[in-house]
Amino acid sequence: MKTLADLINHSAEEKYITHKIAGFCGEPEKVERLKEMGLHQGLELSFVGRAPLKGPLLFRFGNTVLALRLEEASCALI
Amino acid sequence: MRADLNPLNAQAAVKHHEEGDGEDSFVALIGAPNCGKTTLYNWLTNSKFKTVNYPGATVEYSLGTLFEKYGAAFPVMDTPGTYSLFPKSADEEVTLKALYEHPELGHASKVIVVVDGTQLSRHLLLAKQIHEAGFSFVIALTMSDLLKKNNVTPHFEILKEEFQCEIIPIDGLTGGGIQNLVDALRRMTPTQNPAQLDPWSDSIFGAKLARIEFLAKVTLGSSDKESQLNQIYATTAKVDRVLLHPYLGLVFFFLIMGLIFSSIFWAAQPFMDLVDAGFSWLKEAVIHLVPISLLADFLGNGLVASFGAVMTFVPQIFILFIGIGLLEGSGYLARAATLIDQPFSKLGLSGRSFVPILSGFACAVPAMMASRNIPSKRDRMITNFVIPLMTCSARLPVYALLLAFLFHDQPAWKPGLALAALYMGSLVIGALAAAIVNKILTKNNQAIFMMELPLYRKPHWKVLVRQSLTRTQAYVKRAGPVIFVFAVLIWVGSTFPNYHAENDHVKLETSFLGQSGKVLEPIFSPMGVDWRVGVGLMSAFAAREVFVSSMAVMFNVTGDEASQAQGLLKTMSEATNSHGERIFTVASVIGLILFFMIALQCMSTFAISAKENGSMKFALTQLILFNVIAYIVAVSAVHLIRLI
Repeated sequence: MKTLADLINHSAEEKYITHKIAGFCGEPEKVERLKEMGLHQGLELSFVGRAPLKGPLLFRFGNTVLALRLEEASCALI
Repeated sequence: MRADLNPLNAQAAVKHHEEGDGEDSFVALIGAPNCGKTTLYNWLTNSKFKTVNYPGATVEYSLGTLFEKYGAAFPVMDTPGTYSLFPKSADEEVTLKALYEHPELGHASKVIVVVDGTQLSRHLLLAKQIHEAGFSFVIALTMSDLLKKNNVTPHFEILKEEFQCEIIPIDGLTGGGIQNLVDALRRMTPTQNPAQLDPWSDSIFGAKLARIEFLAKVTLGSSDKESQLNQIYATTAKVDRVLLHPYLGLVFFFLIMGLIFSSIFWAAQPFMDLVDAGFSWLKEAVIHLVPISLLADFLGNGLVASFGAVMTFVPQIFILFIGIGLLEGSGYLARAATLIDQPFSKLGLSGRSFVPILSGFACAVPAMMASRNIPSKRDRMITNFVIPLMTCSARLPVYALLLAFLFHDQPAWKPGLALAALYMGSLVIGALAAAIVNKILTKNNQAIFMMELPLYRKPHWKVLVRQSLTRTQAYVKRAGPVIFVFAVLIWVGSTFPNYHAENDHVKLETSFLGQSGKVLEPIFSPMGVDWRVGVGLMSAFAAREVFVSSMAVMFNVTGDEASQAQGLLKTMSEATNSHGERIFTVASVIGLILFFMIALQCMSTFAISAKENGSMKFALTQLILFNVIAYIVAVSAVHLIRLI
């Protein structure tokens, strides 16, 4: 199953494509924090790019932009 | 009409409250980071509050009384930002404790949950938890001005129904809605026994989040309205396209950081000179006012001078806080942290270590205090470990003196460049130290970065200045006593037993400090210096910059400030040890610079490190390790340079 981290290779043109969160996996603490930051099953979000220096991945839903490390993004299934 | 909106009922409720016993408890503000909580708090208290240490913890919260113009008086508490009642960092734990079981105030009698109107679907989670815990609460909806600007009119009926609480829109820029908020608070009955929440299972968590998203949707109206809401994000997206651009983003990062960092120096300098001149004048005045010489000496050179040593750095600290406040308030800080996360993570740090490390260039004390919002204990430990290695401002006068010696009569850009190299060097040493500790400490996967990038906003100046003042005050209270006590101790050590010696030079030479310097000379001589420099190094434990003034006394330099610096340089270049060899050579001065780069001489840093990390062992390790390594590096460098 694909995770948010797999979106890393998406190009800029694809950033308006929304993805639906299908579930979570991995460390409970990271998953809990992801949920507290507003991620939940069924939420639609888009990948807007990556921070400079191959840094965290940026995701947007509504007025929120979240910066997630690769291993954090891999806790959310899409 | 709803009961709680009926003016008669409301009056009765107020009367009930005033008669009842809720006087000893308090109203707590809680909310996610960046939700506008601090701005609201400043409105509520008219910016009059004090920052207090949470008993038994190192995290601070603010306590104030409601501004009298709102017609009521009760204590209001601001808590560190939190996303939920299941804490992840030291900051969040304090918020939880303060709500439930504050050792002096008991539990919060009423709670204001601050919810960002543009982030409804996420921030309502906290309201949900507060509701389930059984707190009597009201929702303050911030950023309502932004909603209005974008023609979004929220409908609160469903939220009122769900949470059984009032919802008050607040305009952070004008203070609109505050009176309504206070009136709502007065109508509420105090919380009786709040329940601790059991952790939510996955499925329950999911269900609650789905419910909250539904509530947010209904509140904001049709999906059409929601797309209007997305307009708010459009400006932020445009700015981010530049500031988070793979290359341009880096350029702007260095520009912004360079500006903030250099302002710590150029903007603070006139104020520092002013404070310095003021205390010098006060010192002279005190010495001439008091007839008894020893008392005058103690008051002037002991008390006033020590207090002055603390206060000289206050302008710098204040400007640092203004800079950080600007970054915070505008929304850039989260971007800066995101940008630096990848290189920092290689060293076992995270993007959240960025502000603490930046602050370390002004002073390690506020820097360690700033590390509290790092959720991972391991990250926080490594951050605090390397903070004392950053070039704090107390090292600057020392470097200035030593570089002036090395580059005597040479164009100004040379020592300037060397100074820049020393700053960069401290980053390299810090990175090295972090990498080593990162290797030694057992790995864990607990490190969490996850940063919300808030919408860009115009900073609120009044709040910014007020907040920087409170933070500066906290710094003075924290670092002040330690620097002060050590400065007085050094004064005692350098004054007695021979306090009526004919001049300062003899007094210091025969003092306890001078005597111990002579005893310890074998330790200092491998560094290529004699006991007098040793005394200077020991006195630097009061505060590093004391090294410069004790050098002046040790080498018997008198005269006013300007000629003193020249005189000191001249005397230093001529000074010889007991064997007639020059003390200050290129080798020994470079050795001293290296020593100052690494050594942990600052006792207030030591004290705060023990407190912030909750471990004397940690602070002692830093103290011993940094000083021993500094010594070894300095000695090796001196001998190496002599060989060349």
